[in-house]
Amino acid sequence: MNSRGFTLTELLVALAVLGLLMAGLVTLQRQGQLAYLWGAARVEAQQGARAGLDRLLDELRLGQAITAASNCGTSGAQDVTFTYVDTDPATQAPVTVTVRYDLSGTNLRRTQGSAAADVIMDGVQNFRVWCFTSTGAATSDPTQTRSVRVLVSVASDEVVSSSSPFKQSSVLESHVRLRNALN
Amino acid sequence: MDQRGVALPTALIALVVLTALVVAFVTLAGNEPVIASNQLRSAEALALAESGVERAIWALGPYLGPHPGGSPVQPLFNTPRGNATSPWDGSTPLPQAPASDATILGSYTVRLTPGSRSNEVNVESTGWTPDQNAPQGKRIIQVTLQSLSGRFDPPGALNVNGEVDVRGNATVRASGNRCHTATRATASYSAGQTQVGGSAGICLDGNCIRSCTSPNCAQNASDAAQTFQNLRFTQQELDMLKAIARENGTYWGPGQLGPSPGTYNGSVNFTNVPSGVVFIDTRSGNPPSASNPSDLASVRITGDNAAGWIIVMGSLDVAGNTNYSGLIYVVDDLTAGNGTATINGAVIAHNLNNSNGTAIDTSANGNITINYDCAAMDRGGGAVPQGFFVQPGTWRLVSG
Repeated sequence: MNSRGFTLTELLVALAVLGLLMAGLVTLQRQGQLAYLWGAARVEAQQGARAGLDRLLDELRLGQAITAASNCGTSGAQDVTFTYVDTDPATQAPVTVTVRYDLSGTNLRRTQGSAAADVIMDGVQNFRVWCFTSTGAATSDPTQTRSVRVLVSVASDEVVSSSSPFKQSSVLESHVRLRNALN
Repeated sequence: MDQRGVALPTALIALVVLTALVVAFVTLAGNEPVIASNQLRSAEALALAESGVERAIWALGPYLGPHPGGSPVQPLFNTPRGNATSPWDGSTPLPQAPASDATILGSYTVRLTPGSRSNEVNVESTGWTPDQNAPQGKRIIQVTLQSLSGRFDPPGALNVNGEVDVRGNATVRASGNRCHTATRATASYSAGQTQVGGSAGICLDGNCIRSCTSPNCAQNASDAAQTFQNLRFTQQELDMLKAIARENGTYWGPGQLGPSPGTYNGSVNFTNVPSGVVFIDTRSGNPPSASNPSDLASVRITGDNAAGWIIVMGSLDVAGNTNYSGLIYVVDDLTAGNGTATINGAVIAHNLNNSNGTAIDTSANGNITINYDCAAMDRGGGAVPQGFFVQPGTWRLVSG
């Protein structure tokens, strides 16, 4: 039986081949991991924005009237107050609720009536509401507003370089008609 | 010689690490579709429920009144009013598309019940996805639909919440039944005294009272308080009519003016009355108030023929030779002086400002003729929007 073992040359060749193989694998794995982190950060940024925006849109859809939204016919309001028709969970009776959404720093806040403000979304870079009449023309008159366009732009709030996969931003936009507004 | 090597342990360790990674990834990835699917089902069910409301609006069509007909939702408008028949009683799911359509998302059920007023229908629309029998998503919308037609059931052609004086050659006529109840209509219905003089006549089924000065000689109502309550638009309805007039009719008031813009002072003189919904607001645009009579509008109409609804937040003077078909609704007094105006439909005057003591609240003089005509009143002579629409403030989501 031949029990000499490996020669140095054989070992070096094996190491070189293994090194090349490992370099390829590590690169592949690293790319995969980056892609996953990129996707996860993006999903997280979108999910937070989506949850907050859905809440705003659900309430706007049940909206009765915009009561305050400055510049909503031009550059877009960053602070909107409206009334909507809610249903009391216990009695199932209709309740009219006044609610305000505004941007404080990078926090989108929701204030119901005279209660304290709740932060429903953080990392918000931009929040705008535009108002439209029943014919689809832009208007700054809240009493004429029958539909609104909402834009929310969010970014992940980790302090990282712009090339980091954790640095993700997302812009969500929707247009909703106020179902309870005057005709 | 030992030849065990390290290949197997290395491979095993790598396998364990990789398996752990894959399991973690699968768990994370598995949750995402569930969340997304729930959101999708919920959104689809809501869209289907909204489709149900739209389908109900389509099915109700223009208001047809309590007359027998082929409409599938006729019981809603019969007297007494009943619930709709299948499928509009919520018993049968209405498909979103033919069953052969592969893109079908689900179905909706729609339940229609009579609303609190004759022109209202309550809708409960439930969206089901993918199927009513095994729903993964379900949303319920409740909403009240209303029609401009069918709102009022006036007892007479001229309805005045105060005193009435009919003189000159004025004629107030009615025949047959009221619009929505099987009782006889009257020509003039008033909460106060009715006087007839000159060559004027209050005519019911062709029989005219031509001379009468004593109190209560014509129709005078013991149930006037409730009747005039029923004949009063709510503030919400006035706001809605104002919005309709602004967008599809004629609105005179602060902020938005009629045909000749200027400073609105509450005084309007129509030489040609526009057709459609005409809303003349108070000077301030606020709801009319008896305690603020100077805020009430003062309107005069003369001239051409027109059809529609005229809603005046003040008093109205009908002069000239206007031939009007529709509803005239005045929160204060109505006067008719010169000319030979004819009104087919109904007139409702609420005499809001009663501070003028014993003075006549509504005076029909000259040659005016007022004929009771339900169809003309309901449809505004064909010039007001027909069909049902969502009553503002009633659209809501309920759980169940």
